[in-house]
Amino acid sequence: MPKPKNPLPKKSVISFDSSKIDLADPEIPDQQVVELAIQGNMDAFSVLYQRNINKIFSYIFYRTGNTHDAEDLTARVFHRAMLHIRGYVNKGVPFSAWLYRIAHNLVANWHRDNERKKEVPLEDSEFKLPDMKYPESTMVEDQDVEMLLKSIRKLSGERQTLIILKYVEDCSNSEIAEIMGRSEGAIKSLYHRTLLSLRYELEKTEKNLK
Amino acid sequence: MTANSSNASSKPSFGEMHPLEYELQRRLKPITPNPAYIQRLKAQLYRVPRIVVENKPKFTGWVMILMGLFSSVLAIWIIRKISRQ
Repeated sequence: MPKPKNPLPKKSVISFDSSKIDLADPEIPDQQVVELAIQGNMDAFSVLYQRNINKIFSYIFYRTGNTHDAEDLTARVFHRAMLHIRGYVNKGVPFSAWLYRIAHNLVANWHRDNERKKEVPLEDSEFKLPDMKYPESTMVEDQDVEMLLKSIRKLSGERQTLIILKYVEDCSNSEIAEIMGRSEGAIKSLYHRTLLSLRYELEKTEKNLK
Repeated sequence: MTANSSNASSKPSFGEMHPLEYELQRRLKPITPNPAYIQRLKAQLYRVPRIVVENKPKFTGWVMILMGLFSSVLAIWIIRKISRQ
């Protein structure tokens, strides 16, 4: 069996003393952990996993609407990240933006496959929230949340992504631009159009309820 | 991408916030996966075997093509020989 070539790209040259890094330290910056993970350090990848699993799951859950697919796609995101981490390029945005981008592409494929199968339209399917910890939750609040989610799911995939990244994942416009492969200006303009569409959808849903 | 990251420029302040933006910020909360799932997936990631793609010898393709050509020529020659007889 021929020896595998080392495809370590030039950009991943280590710029710090990796032997001094304590991965158990929660203060250690993502970039240093990423550089260790690029070298094949599984413990470093595990730290990145722990730091990002909740964010990625949450994003995918809001985009798919069910726990089963969210778990399946989240697993695929981390498997893919592990396979391709050597190709990671730091573009000045947090590492999680790279993971969100993988998730964004996988979710887009998932929606495309579902459309081909001609299953129940997503906007008509029920969006079931898992047992969330809403300390102040009431029945009325839950209904309002479900109505809001139903209206969000009537928007296009891109607009849903934008709303979720901004309000659930707390991403900045530059991070959203990186994840969605667009300019910051395009994101701002998409955001204003999204708010208008969402308001329209909410009004429609309210009318239907009356 | 923590709550304290540089979102000040992208997110409107409370005063200038559109009522719909306020509703979105108030009602949409992150969802946490099942802790058992987190542990299970972590274990799976550790178990993923390192796959090494074995390179095929460089000339295998050419050898196959030449062998194919040779056997075709041989077959044609035999058929011609038989048909002449």
